[in-house]
Amino acid sequence: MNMALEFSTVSKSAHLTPEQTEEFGRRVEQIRQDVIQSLGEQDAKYIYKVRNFVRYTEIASRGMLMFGGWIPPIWLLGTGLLGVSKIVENMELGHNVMHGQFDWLNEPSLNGNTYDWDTIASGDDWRETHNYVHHTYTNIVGKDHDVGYGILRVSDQQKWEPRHLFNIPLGLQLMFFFEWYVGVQNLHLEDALVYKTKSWKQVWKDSSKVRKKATRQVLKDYVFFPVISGPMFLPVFAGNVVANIIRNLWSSAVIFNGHFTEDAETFEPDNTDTETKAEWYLRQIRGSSNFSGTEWMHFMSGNLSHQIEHHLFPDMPANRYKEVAPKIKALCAEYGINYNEANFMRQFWSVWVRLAKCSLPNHTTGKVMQTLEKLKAKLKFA
Amino acid sequence: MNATLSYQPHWVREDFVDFVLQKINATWAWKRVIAEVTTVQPLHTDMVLIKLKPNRNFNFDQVRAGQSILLTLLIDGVYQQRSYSIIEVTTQGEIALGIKVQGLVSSAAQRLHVGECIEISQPQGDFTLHQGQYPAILIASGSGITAIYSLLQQALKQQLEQIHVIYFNRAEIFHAELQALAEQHPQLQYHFFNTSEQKQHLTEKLLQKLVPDYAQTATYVCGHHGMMQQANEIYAQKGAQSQLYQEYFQPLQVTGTHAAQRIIFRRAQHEFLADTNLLSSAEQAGLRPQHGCRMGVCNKCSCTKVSGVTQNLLTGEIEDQPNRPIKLCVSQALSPVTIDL
Repeated sequence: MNMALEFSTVSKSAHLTPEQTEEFGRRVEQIRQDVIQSLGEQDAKYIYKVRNFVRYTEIASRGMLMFGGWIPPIWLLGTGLLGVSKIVENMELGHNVMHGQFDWLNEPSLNGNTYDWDTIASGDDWRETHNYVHHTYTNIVGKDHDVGYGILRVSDQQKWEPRHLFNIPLGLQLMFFFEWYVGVQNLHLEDALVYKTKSWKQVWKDSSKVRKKATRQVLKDYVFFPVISGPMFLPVFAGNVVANIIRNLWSSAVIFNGHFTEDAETFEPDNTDTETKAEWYLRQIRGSSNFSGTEWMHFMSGNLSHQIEHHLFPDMPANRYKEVAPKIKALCAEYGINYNEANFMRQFWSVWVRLAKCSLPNHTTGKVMQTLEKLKAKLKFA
Repeated sequence: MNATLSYQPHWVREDFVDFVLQKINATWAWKRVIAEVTTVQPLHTDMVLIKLKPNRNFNFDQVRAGQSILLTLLIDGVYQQRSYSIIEVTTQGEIALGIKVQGLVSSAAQRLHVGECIEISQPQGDFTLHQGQYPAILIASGSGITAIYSLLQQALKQQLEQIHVIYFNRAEIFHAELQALAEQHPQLQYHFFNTSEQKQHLTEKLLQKLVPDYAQTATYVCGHHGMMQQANEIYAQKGAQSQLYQEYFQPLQVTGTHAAQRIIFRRAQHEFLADTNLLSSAEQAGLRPQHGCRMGVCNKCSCTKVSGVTQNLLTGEIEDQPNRPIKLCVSQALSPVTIDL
């Protein structure tokens, strides 16, 4: 199975024998079966409620901006609410529906194959880069483009380049413009910009879907709604810009927390062809991290706070992750597998520590860490 | 077939538009057909007549006798669909359906109230009458009479030279109407068998007795499995399958064998035989449906199964409902299957 890479901090997970691994896989499968068989009306009602939440908050927030946008408190409220609406639409509704979690409802507008969300990335591109590539080759360096998005260095296994010195500022701007980066993710722009292995002609060809989708998004948020607001053009325009940024910051933070935390392992592309389902399960757990929080926090993160459970069961309705999480956690404890979980701020801090470490070449980081250790030891004695 | 080439964003979200329209009027919708229930009337202990008045999106001029519509009902949070034959379209622009209690959807359909609004499909199906005035035999059993009754009216309108109606039922649904029609129209021969009184099945002997030249006559059959099979055998023996037109309204029986099944990708107009999972079988046939992980995880190969029975190879679950999402990579066909690809 895929072992953690040499340089990375020694894996916190125990090494399982092939028999143990298969047994572990069977236990995970059982947990999945129990939930899938109990799917029913409550799950249906939940997603219909989420959809209505998105609809009503969008109507309310756009209404506020359109009719009261010149009054600062109303502008703030409208913009904030539109940000929330977009966050829930993208995460708890769109992301989950596009995984096919609710296909069984037989409701065409909640079908995973046709849903298209309120963001720059086209539904089709997303189903390729995220549902297929990221969820199949999770955290395998060189295969899963989510390992740094071609911008960041998040693993020791990625070859260091001078541009990675700017890991931290690049990470910050990635958060700001997140929807655009996700939108162009499957173009692999770094291949054209940095490595010169891809022609711009090919980039243009590959971008046909995202060009259409981006046109729709820009026309909707920055032309249509401002124009129909007449004298409220500017407040509406500004509100839409800010709401999109709010969504970008939050969704990128949730996603960073899911895979870029310090203990989230990356893997070598060694044996994905022969990997068993049980090994795949194990890789999903070791490569993902959860954050704990209130009900509200889980809702606003589209239940991706349960990233581990989401990666084990991407097509299970996300409202069920919270009931599955303790079972997976207990199973991990039994087998000595590290269950990576902490509160939001701790995970988020560890993301930036990791980005900082990865901004220098491995040997330099090693030296810096040694020096820091010595310094710490000295301070203790002093 | 390659859906990726034809990507279009939802420039305007249809479900949002419909959500707003339905707040104003429950039958308003942008493209979908929403119909109001105008009549619910028992025909018999286990069958009701339901009349639906659809919104302007319904194509009335496309309705042909013998066709059906799909009703979509929300049952326990899940949208379930079932097809029902159109008995007739009334002069007030209503669609009349006869619904017999058979399963989940028809039971729910029987509980509909006047004034409720439900989604229906456009008219569909190719169980329709031939052109011209050649004679016809119409055979029905049970609730199959709804489609046959509709064909009969068309046959009378078209003034076919001769019409035989052979009808088996435990209950006398439409019996009086059929008798009345037979009295008015000399070209109509009506043969009714009340199967609660006399045990009578469709046999070659019976058919021979009622319509001696049956093998040379266009024959339309709608009813239970047993009778449909019987009709198949009778006409096959005479080498007259081309005269036989059948409409199945019950899900096909699952045989339990994993024999190769005929699969149709209807948008791509491709047909192939599948004896393993649908994705591999399609690829063996030279098709390249969109796919990803090949293990039932990523959902990229998910598509709509229009009709037929499939089994999920991971869970063993059997899917026999029309218009359901399936994942090609983990589905095996248990009957002929049509897929919307």
